[in-house]
Amino acid sequence: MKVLVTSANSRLGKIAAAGLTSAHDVTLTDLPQFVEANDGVVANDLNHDDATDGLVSGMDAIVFPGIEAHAGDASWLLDHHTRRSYNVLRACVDAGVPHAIYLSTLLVLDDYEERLTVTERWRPLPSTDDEMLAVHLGEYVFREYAREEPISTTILRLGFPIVDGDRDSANAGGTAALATDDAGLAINATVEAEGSGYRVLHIQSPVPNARYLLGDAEAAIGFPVAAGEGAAR
Amino acid sequence: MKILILGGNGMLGPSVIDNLGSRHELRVTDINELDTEHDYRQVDVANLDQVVSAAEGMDAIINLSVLRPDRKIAFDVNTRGNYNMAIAARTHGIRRLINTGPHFQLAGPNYEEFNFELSPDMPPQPGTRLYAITKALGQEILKVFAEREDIYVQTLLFYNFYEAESLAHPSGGPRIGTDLTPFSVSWTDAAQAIRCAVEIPFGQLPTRCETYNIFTDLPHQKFDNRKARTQLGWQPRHFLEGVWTKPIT
Repeated sequence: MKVLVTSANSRLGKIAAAGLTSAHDVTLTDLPQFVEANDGVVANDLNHDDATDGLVSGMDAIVFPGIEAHAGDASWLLDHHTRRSYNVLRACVDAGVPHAIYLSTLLVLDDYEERLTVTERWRPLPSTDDEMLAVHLGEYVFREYAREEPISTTILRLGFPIVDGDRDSANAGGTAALATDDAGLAINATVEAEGSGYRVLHIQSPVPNARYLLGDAEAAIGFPVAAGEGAAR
Repeated sequence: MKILILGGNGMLGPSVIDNLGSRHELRVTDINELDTEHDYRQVDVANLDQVVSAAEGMDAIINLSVLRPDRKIAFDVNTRGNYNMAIAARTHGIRRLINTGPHFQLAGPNYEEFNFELSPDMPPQPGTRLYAITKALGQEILKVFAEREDIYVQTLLFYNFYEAESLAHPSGGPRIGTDLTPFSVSWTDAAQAIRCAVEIPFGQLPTRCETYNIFTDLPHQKFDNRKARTQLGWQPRHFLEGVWTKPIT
């Protein structure tokens, strides 16, 4: 499949690329200020223009990192996660790209007590923290596109913290942790599962006393069980 | 009450200023020059520093700013403008924020084309039209702030405005017997709704974040304006009958 990863030089962009590159034809793009010469990343401002239209043309899926993408002040973050995501999605719709994936965070549900069985059916409780607010609005834009336009969108709410390493590495990160290997597996499995209207999936590593239930992810993309086995093979 | 008005030279601005000007101390702002007897500052609502500075010493902020066609500026004004208003409120301890926007920032095509009796308390479905979604995102920002901080946000939704006597519509002359978008109101009634939102005691608001459909009493039953009447005590005086009735010979 042809997959476009935005914010490719951010931490999560690199994690997504690592999860996808071996199995797919991946194009990496980032804003010009984050691109260095010969790093294999296409510089693009994700504006409403022909360059963005051309970037998404022919893609089977796009991956738009929200959390742990590039840092900035509130104005920059809000602009990036609302206007730029809107631009990318509009370009996708116009080009017939069938599936767009937004990488969000389970931190939007952090206010619920640990004893609660928090799933995708619990209302997000974002804070006014700049990044949380921006990510919450990014989810909003992706949701409305799925509701009204001929494109499927998937929100992957990723566990926190995102810990470098394999699944065992997450054990040291707490009950909501996500290992980078698992993040890559989940992103790849989501791309391969293709879109299904609008879907929200919670993704964390299967650590002891895991805070978030993963039933929907298991059913939709086989994470963590099947995806993990696939990686083991 | 000392009130900051953002976007004071917009469509609704003159009516609101006329209504509130004799009862409150107004600081009127707009991105454009404005000839007014009130304290005036030129402010770009998309500029955080300008909004925060303009809000100093105020008791309430009314955001009437709007930008429709340009994609970049629409996000700057309609979405980030509300963020800037919220930060200004936090900075200066301002607890009353009045937000305005079109009805379809809440009731987008998936509601309006399918349903009747549409309430302002429905979960928003703005869809992807630029104006609708940028305003809806701005409203969502204020909702998050209201849930987290000690501020009261009232969002008043409008759509079509008419001259009360002539039934003239901004896009043309009188529209006698042509029917109307069933979310229409006279300019003066619209401004009166803003006054109700400004003057209602916080204790009479059920929550810190409330949304109201502001249109006159109409027979269509497409939307529901009862919440504005019962909670805000708003009573429209102009019913625009000439537009939605026709002569029978």
